[in-house]
Amino acid sequence: MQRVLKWSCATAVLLVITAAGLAWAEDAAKPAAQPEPTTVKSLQKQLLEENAPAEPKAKSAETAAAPSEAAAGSEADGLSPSVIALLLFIFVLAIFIGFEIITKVPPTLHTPLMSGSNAISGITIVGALLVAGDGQGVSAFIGFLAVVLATINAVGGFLVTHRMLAMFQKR
Amino acid sequence: MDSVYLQVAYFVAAVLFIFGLKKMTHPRTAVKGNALSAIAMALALAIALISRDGYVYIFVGLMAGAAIGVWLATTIKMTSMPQLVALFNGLGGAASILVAGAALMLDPHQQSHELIATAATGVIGAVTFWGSLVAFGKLQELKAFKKPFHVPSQQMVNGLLAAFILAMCALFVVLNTGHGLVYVVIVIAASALGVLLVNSIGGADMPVVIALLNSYSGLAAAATGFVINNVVLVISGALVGASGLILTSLMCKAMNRSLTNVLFGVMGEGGEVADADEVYRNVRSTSADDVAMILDGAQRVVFVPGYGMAVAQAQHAVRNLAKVLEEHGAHIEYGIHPVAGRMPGHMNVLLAEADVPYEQLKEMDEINQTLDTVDVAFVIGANDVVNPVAQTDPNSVIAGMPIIEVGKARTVIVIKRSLSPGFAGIPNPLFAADNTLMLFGDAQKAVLEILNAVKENL
Repeated sequence: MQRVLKWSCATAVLLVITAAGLAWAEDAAKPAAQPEPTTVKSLQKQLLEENAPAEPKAKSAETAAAPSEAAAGSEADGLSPSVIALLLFIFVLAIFIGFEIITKVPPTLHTPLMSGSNAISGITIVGALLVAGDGQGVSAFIGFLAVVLATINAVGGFLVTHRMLAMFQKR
Repeated sequence: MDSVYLQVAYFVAAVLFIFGLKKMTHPRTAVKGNALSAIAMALALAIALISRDGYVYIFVGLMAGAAIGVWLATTIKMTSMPQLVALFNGLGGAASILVAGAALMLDPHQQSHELIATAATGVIGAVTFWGSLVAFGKLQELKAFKKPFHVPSQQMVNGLLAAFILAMCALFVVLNTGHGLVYVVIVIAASALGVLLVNSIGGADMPVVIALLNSYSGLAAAATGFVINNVVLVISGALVGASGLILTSLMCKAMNRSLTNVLFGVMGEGGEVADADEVYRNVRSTSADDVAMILDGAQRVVFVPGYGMAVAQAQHAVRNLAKVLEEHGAHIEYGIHPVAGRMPGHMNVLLAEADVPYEQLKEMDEINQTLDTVDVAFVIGANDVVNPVAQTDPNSVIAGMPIIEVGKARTVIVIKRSLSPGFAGIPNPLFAADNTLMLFGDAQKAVLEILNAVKENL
């Protein structure tokens, strides 16, 4: 039990650091006129520095490898391909965390787990808000519709999960 | 995009989701875990609102969605939970399609990776949405979905459709101008695929489908995250995708079938199906009074519920019977097969609703170890999950499927409306076993009759 907690703490720290790196990378990518090599190189350096205290070298090397790999495609796409590589990296990492955690959920809780995790997939609401505000006319309406649907999913999902879990907890 | 602080804040939300899910691993902490996830959602929502100027209709949308969500969540009956979960899955998928579509309209000159993500969102989202709607219709037992509509050579149609979708996605990316029309075509084709995929699946395979659609709704959200370059969408979408995949594989394992086998409909071509009349020649039926006599002095009683208990809404009656038996010194447990019911964990939710203590809910492997010391095992509305053929006949369609071995108990009482076969369509020799008694009738009524008889007896 404690090992799991420690393990997930470490992962969380790693994730937050990666996030900071990601945000930094986006900032660095903003002046698009700058030549690519500097961006990637300094990004690597930054990631190495930031990762070092939290995780052993292997992890940092892994993190740093992602942007350098993506650098190859950077000439075709104008804007920060390192960001995509990082997003992919984060995606895969999150799937592993998901596997690790969910396998420990007892069958008794499978239904609440499903409705709860489904509510989490209502996170699309963030995307909906971002596009709903930007557009006009049709795209704004589509965004509005997405806001409504995602909100039903999130609010309804968390509430009904709570209802179920409260039944399990009563005693 | 936005400043570093917003990104970090999104990340905090993502980490909260992870901890929220982690707390779901035990019933005692699960309520907190769910609350933690809800807080994370609120945080992500707040950040999204802050990072842009407020618009009145966004708030209107939020309020409307929240109102509908609260209404659905508070009025739904526990027995309708599978439908609701299916519906929510679908809504998530639909929202993802819309977000990717709107993003495409706002910026038609997306980069190729964004185009790939947009196409993926369209495909996964549409399959999720329409698949979930069909699943909802089936679970709600709407007339239109009672029988799957017939599609000539369905496998081939599905295959062609999938190939067409892939080609359209390739075209969408190659065109490189973010062609709205192609996106619409992709969504429509994927919608058809979603309907066809779930159309042919039913009955006992439903838990697999629900779990799989659950996974898809998460993956659709993650794909949307790639479209709008947003970390929190990618992480939470991945978590949900992983969770759904694990449940899917658990459900498949519990039926000893592969995912493709479930998805492409047909049960395995098992050897000859035994003749039902032959198998059932020695069936003995019983009455509530006789059952009460048998229960008199029973030390250990186990209930094995199935979908029939959910249909008859017999969980409260079962719990009341268990209470009375408990008061007279019997040790009560419930043996729950992973795929009993119409979604993962279905039986547990129903029994929890009826105030059954969590400690009495036993998993299949656990209950199987002690079933030979059980005096009376009740099978309530379950069939295939207790069919010994799975272990005895290697040619059977359910060969190798793990079952609850109720036959090991001293006396087995099967409450069932008739001798009709379960989803697998094969007779169950358990019903004719020497230590089995059949009590025919509606589960709720039958259990109440037993309860009354027991009360009179004691």
